[in-house]
Amino acid sequence: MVEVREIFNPSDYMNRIKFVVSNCLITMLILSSFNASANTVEELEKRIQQLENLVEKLLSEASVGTELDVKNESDDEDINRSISDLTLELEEQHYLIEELSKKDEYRMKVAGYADVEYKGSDTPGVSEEFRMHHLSLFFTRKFDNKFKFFSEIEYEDAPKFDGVNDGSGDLDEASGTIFVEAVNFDWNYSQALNVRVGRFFSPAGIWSEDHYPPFVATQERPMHIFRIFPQFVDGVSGYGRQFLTDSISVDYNIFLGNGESSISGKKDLNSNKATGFRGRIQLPIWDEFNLGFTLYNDNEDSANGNADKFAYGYHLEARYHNISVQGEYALANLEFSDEVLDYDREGYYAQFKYHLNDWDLGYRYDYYDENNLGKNSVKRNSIFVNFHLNEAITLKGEYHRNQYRNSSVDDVGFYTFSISTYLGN
Amino acid sequence: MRKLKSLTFIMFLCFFSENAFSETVYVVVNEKNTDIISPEMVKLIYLDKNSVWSDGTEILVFELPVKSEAREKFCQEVLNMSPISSQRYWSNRFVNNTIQNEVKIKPHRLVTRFVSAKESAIGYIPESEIDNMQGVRIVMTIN
Repeated sequence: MVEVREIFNPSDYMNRIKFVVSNCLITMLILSSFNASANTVEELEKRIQQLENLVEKLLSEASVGTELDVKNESDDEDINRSISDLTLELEEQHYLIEELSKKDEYRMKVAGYADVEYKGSDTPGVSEEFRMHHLSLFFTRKFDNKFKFFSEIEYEDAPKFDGVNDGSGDLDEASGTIFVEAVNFDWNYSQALNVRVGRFFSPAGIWSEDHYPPFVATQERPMHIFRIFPQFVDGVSGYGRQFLTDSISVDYNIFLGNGESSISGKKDLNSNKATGFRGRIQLPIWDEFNLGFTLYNDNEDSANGNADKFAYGYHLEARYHNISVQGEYALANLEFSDEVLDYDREGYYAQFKYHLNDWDLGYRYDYYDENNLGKNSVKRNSIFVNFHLNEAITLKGEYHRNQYRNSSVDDVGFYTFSISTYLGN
Repeated sequence: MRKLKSLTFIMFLCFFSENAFSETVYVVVNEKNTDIISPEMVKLIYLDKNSVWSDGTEILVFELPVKSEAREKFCQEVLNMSPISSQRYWSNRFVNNTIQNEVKIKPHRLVTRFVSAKESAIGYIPESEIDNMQGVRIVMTIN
């Protein structure tokens, strides 16, 4: 606004002054009409932009001037008053933006994602189908700089629950799943120390947390994911990141939870809590390079016949320009009271992805052995293509081929075409 | 054969076309911020790997809209990824609940204003904003 005062000096011409005054008054009129309705940061930002555009327009038009040479001191005063009002108005808008930004940051936010699939298989007798796979809603809130809340409710396969209208409470029809996948509170003390309490996805490897359809290459996840380390933890975790140098950092996540069980969220089936740890180092190699490992122990795993379960795994995630690679290995050792029943469960995958403009092309090799007691292992080769219509919508095509170690089981190929979208801002 | 050559040439242009935004882009922080900020640190901030300044203050990260040419240039030169990939990266961190700093997307004129007003802020702006850069310190220049 300093510039405004410099340009509008007393030597301006009369009609130029009248022109500017009238425009300022019109501007103020427009602003006051906006004031009544603007209630979001976006609206205020737009309003400021309009104000600035108008001021610029006024300045440029006024500076052109005319041929009249009549001075009028009172018009000058009017001009200066109008400009002063306009400046105040601009400052007020900036103040309002600040205030609304704070409110905006601390209000509850709703986001989500959804995906629809068309699936088929070369297995005889298996029909192609459309699948309304996911509709997930996230409700989050930041209370202040230290405390925040996060939740996710997933509706899988377009659930429908229809009760019998006879007061019995029985269901006439039930299909699909409604699942509270995450509900947790975070206390963020510093970058190196944070605490999370509630239900959260197991901090194990990569895919366990990083599995959301709009952001992963395939709808089909690697076979061992959620089968060696549990899908989620009901408990508490401490996590953080510490820089060793300017570009090398380590992060940790240590957690304690109920462990897996058939009853989730209400009570633990045993008195032994599951514990886990994930460590990761980020190195300044290529554009991103992370190496990590995960440990998990549950002395009485209710989901696996009360076995004493110990699992470990390691992972690598790297990106160089348009090329991304990631891989995970995990092995669980399950020991029972009868040693004859003991077994190992093992899985790994390696994925390569090439990003080309809005396209991703890739390949994944995947291996899973449910237990080493028999010929149960499966190898899977997958190819995929993703097209990112924009930052929120992704179209995917993927083909997977399973090869079974058990020669009596035929190889199976299946494909999925899907559209997935992120519903956040 | 000629058609095939033309098609190949067009595909080559589509796939390997360079970012044509000619303006210089400046990464700026508040003038009161005395941290030494390297290009690697800028990258870590915009990959949400570093969320605090040296005194422990949370970094206020400003981004430009996805379709902004300055963001295209910043993402390609600093992060080695497209603006769409960068935005998907932020969204992914939000949904998997690993986000440290929620980035704020603002038009460049407001980024300049906010960075000049907030001591903990960082943003980047095109050269055309240079006249409005009072109160900010340039920490990186992307030509």
